[in-house]
Amino acid sequence: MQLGFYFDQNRCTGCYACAIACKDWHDVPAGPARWMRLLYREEGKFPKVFVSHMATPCYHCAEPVCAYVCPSEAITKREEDGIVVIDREKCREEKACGIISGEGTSLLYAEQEAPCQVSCPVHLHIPAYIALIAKGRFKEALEVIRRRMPLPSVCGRVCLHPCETECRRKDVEEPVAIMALKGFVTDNVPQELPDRLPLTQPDCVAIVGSGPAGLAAAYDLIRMGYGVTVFESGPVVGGMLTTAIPEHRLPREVLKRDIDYLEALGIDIRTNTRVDLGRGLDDLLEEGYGALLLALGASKGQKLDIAGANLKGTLDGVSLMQDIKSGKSIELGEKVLVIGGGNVAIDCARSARRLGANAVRVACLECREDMPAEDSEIRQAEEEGIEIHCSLTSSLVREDNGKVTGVECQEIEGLQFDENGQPSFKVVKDTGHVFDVDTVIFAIGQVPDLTGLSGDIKTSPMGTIAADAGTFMTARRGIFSAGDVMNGPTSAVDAIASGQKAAFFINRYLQGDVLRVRPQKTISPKDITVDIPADKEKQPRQVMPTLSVSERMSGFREVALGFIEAEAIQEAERCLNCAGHLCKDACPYSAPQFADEEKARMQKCDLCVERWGDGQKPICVEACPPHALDAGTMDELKMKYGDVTEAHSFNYSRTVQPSIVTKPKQR
Amino acid sequence: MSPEERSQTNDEQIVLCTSAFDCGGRCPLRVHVKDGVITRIEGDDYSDEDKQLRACWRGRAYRHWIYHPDRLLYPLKRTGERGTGQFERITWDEAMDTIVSELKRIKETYGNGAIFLGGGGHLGALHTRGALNKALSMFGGYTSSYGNISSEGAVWAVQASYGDVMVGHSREDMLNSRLIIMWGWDPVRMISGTDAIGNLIKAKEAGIPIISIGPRYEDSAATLAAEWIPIIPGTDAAMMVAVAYVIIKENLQDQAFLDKYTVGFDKFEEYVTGIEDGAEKTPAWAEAISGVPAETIIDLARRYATNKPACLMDCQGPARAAFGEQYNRCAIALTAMTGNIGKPGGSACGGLMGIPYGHMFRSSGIPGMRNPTEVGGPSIRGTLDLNLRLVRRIHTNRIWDGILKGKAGGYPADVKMAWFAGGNILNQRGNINKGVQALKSLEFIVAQDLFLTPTARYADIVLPVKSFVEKNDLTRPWPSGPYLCFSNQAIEPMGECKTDWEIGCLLAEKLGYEDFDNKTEDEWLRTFVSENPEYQRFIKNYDEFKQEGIQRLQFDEPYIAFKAQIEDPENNPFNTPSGKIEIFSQRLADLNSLLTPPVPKYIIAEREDRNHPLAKKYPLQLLSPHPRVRVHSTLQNVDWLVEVDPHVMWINPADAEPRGICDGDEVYVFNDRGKIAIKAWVTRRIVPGVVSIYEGAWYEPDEEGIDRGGCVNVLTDDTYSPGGAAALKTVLVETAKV
Ligand SMILES: Cc1cc2nc3c(=O)[nH]c(=O)nc-3n(C[C@H](O)[C@H](O)[C@H](O)COP(=O)(O)OP(=O)(O)OC[C@H]3O[C@@H](n4cnc5c(N)ncnc54)[C@H](O)[C@@H]3O)c2cc1C
Ligand code: SF4
Ligand code: SF4
Ligand code: SF4
Repeated sequence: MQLGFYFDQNRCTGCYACAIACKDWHDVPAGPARWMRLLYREEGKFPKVFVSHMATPCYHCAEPVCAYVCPSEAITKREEDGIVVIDREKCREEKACGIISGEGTSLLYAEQEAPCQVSCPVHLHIPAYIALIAKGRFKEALEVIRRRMPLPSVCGRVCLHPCETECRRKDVEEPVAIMALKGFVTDNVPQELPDRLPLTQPDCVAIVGSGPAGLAAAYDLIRMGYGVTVFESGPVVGGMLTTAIPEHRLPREVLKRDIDYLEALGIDIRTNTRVDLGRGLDDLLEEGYGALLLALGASKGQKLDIAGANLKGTLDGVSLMQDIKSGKSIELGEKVLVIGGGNVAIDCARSARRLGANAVRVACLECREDMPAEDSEIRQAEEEGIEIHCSLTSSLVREDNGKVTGVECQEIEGLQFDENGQPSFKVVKDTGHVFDVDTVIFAIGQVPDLTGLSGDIKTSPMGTIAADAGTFMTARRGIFSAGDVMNGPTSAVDAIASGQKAAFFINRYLQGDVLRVRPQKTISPKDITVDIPADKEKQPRQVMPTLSVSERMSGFREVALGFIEAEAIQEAERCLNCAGHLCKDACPYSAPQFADEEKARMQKCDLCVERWGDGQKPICVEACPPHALDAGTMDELKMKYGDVTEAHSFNYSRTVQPSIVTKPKQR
Repeated sequence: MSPEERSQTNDEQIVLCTSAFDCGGRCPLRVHVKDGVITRIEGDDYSDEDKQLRACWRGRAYRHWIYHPDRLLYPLKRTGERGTGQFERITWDEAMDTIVSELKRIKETYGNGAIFLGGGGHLGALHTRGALNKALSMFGGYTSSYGNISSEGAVWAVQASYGDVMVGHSREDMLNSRLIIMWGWDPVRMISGTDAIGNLIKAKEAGIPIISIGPRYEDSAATLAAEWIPIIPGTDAAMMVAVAYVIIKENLQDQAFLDKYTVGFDKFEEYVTGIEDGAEKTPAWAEAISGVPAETIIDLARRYATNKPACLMDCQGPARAAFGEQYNRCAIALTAMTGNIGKPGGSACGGLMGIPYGHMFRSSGIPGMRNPTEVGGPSIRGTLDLNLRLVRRIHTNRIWDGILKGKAGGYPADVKMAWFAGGNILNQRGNINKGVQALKSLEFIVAQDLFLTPTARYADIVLPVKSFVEKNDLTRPWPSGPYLCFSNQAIEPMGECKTDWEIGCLLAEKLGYEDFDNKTEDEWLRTFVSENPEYQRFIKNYDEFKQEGIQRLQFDEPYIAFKAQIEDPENNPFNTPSGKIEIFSQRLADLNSLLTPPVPKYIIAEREDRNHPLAKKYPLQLLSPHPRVRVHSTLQNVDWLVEVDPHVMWINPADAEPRGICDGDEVYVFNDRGKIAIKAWVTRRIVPGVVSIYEGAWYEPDEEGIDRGGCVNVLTDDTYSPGGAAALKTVLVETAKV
């Protein structure tokens, strides 16, 4: 038997009688522990306003993820009636759950976040999905990831994972392989395409650019109920992820999984459709799109302003990568020098090797430790026979009859970057050095291509679109921007975060709300003190299995092979669970609650378990003045009210299977 | 299990109680008591679930009010400056001795008129200020205020039109309507009878279209209405007049009804069509005033006039404004024009909504005595002339002015001391800063309350009062039943608290009035039940009534106001001079004032609204609706309530954006009368150009005089309309980010 709730959104007046009755009955103090919460949603421009509420107690799920992640096994689902109950004595008792010391932060237990989550630009519930992986609950883990992540496969492979940099397991030995664990679930949970989402908003949004910024905005906007059309000038979806990041790191079919998922939700992506940045924008607005998002990326490669930079045999990195990806035949020399120290540079170098260049070198300004490229990337590059030369500046491309013959470099010291990213340094005297090469690849950054951009959209001195950092709106009302076109070249996850913020502001704009929001208090991961138990046993990080070097050189096969299940589980078990409250983070509805008290222990709706014996219903049900709530066995409720688990402006999780029947609010 | 059976388990007792607040409802509560302490509160468990009188959110939180750490438990005397809240505990003897000696001194020095008695609070039969009134009357009398701060406009309008205040229908009668118009009525927030919301939900689910008209998209509108018509505050009468215009022009009025039951429709018609003053009150005319598009007005008029029966529900809030009574008068004219009076599914309008069963106006009470200071004043029975009512009394929204100006200012007395028997008057009348001055000017102040309210902070002696669970009393629904309640004592009194009745008796004893009151609480309550005709009719057994805590009154059909007058007019005239519904009132014509015209009008005269010159400086109109999570200022600081509905100012994005105000920002709201600090809630649920702050938050001035508590009455004015309504919603302010 399964007991559950019924909720009629049409009857709920938003009065909170349920919530207060619940607090009174269970003697829960005022404060953050709210067993019954009411979500408020206000939609539509004045005067066409629409209001809905959603009663969110605990839904006593068929698959209670809260129970799965609890380290102390304090949460159980009762056989006899399906009520998910908490043994508060056990909570945080058998095993620690949360080891952040309160000092330095004024945050309550439930508000504390792990350093990894804080440093993740999209704020993924990392410890929760890792805990689910540790318990073998991969499907549930993927759902937690998808809550905030539109491109889980991408960010399971090529993310710059600032989270791992902050992961405190490094104070024991090494950080947890957060990114690879994400990649593991995306590879190992069979893809199930979601249903199309209902369009509940009157407006549609046009997104120009199908890179991570555009797709992230599309994902959030369609989940808010907007119609979304993504216009992509190229033949493929995904921006740089598809057109530039090499196959050996991010195979196309992997990316396609994520894109298929997004399209299944109802996002309309139109490839080979360039939007003219002048008149074209007006056309879109006239066609009736409520808002536009420019997520055009930064696609124009740059070269150093030195003599010989435009000789035959000099290339820019992005164009090269794009040409490789689009299958153009590439003619590279034998001896290649890549100028630059970032991921693009390493990608160019490793691709050059795969295309047959024998001697591939990378020369960059930064010293080895400061190279922006991923460490593992550099390591793998070296394995592949690529030489890395650091702290060098290039001053001249030598030629012979118009053909590149070498590059002159000098050693530098005192390297610094100004706020616009422009370097300054001193050349060390008498350190001239000539690389003997026939091909030079510049990988020194990209700028947006804003050809034809309408004059009323302002640009910055950096050549990016100027948008208000507090609203993401450009100088023209209703046109927003996000991603690399606004910030210059960043990374996939930064572009995703940027797209999500843009979606947030676009929603406010379309709702006729004030765009700006109060600045949120942010906490730096550096300020988080984690008390790692002194006796924590060392357990080295799982090494990502890779292709052998010879296998790699035969083409563009993906180098990383991914964890197998046992490796993933072992790796997941390394998580220190710094912040705790895993149940709350894993629950799609944040139903687990914590009071403002010393050693807060989980509490939540218990479906008034002790009232049923008396033939009564839960107190919230009996308190609701307009009878919007009911409770009973799920079979009874479905008989009485129909089998609908759909609510206006509220997304139920299919994975956990909540025990609730609802009547969605009608417009 | 029955409540009695359940009360046996766990040595827990279940006591049947109700609150006695002016809260808009009256819900039977089942209070769980264990070892003398309330552990939980449950609501009505009547077997017919559908007819349960379910407590609202406030009722659910009473435990944290009853046991609030700030409850006053002992008498206090002031030790610091007035308003600073410095007090020390004293005995009842010392408190009462001080009061008696001050009363005597003031009486001897200035006469009885110098004693002002005001109050509010407990709405029961016995434990009210009745005994105090009587004791002070025996002492030679006192000055009091005239008028009800909430409903004076509506009362005046129904008196003028019907000569009767019982203008409601049973709530279930709304199910007989074909169209329901909630015009300035938000029952979800202000309850309007515990059974209102349930019946409205049923009406909606039965497919009866519901329209909401008001400056805010209220919770009722959001839940029930298919359509919201936003309107600029204070302009309802203009829109109503234009609705009448459309009905007249399209000849949709129920002429037979008008001819048979009303007087003076022709005069109203002359005003509406412009024959009287040359100005046609067209929808376009009203659009310019109210902001409601002319087409919307036309559409509404047609729908209202052609869907019969239709239930137009006006209320009291929009009448709490300059010329507010005209809103209720106009509504009555409309329901008369459409022939909806006295009929099932119709409505009589007039905003008061009561039916004559269990009505709170018909509560019992200890027999009083005429206040000697009022003897010899003009006869005010049934008068519509406010001036007559203010000969011996001070208008309730003018108390501070009356205290400050006294007889020289045209008020009936020079007040030197005030006794506030509950009521938190400082907080709950217009223009608090004037109130502070007035209170500081007095020689002696007594306050009795459960908490050290902003008013009590100015008192010299503060007397602690019991809450409803600490006494037995007869209570009545707001505004009426059909049911009657008995609220049982659930716990021993807290500290040394007494009830208002006990305080009155104690005063009489100290004043040496022997045999002032020889009855016990139980004797009084039995007497009330046996002597009041309504209890006589419905309560067969006192003890059973007390045990059950409620007597539901069952009728075969819903009560319909004026049904008798409509069905049999010959034998049942209306209680007006003409015996008919007075669209035109000769009594008003006799007053001969443009501001109290004989027919309902939208009065064109200066008022503090967006057309006032002051709007240049203070461009926003301010509303001060009843709070959702308080009963006016009662239940302030009940943590369970505050957390679900924090005190905020509603502001439209169109007003917030240019002022740089984000949702959640701390703002100042100010005008020439004062300045408050509050958080902004940016919402599309309010008309641009209007901000809204719920009344009742406690006034908490800082050193600079800025009210940090966000009490809206720092900003409102202490004026009243010609009909006597406190004009608390005719206010201009500006707001800025802190
Ligand atoms: C070689 C290379 C390797 C990289 N490696 C990594 C990595 O390992 N990890 C990482 O996190 N990041 C990496 N990045 C960076 C990352 O790919 C970018 O930061 C990210 O893709 C930027 O996202 P975006 O959505 O802003 O723009 P883009 O991904 O550039 O997408 C913009 C899209 O807009 C389209 N578009 C432009 N103009 C128009 C128009 N007028 N009409 C229609 N469509 C238009 C473009 O065709 C493009 O598809 C790499 C970048 C490169 C070049
Ligand atoms: S709603 Fe959340 S807390 Fe409740 S059972 Fe489901 S996952 Fe657990
Ligand atoms: S079922 Fe009980 S515990 Fe759960 S929300 Fe309702 S009142 Fe609270
Ligand atoms: S008690 Fe009922 S109407 Fe009130 S908030 Fe809860 S569910 Fe909604």
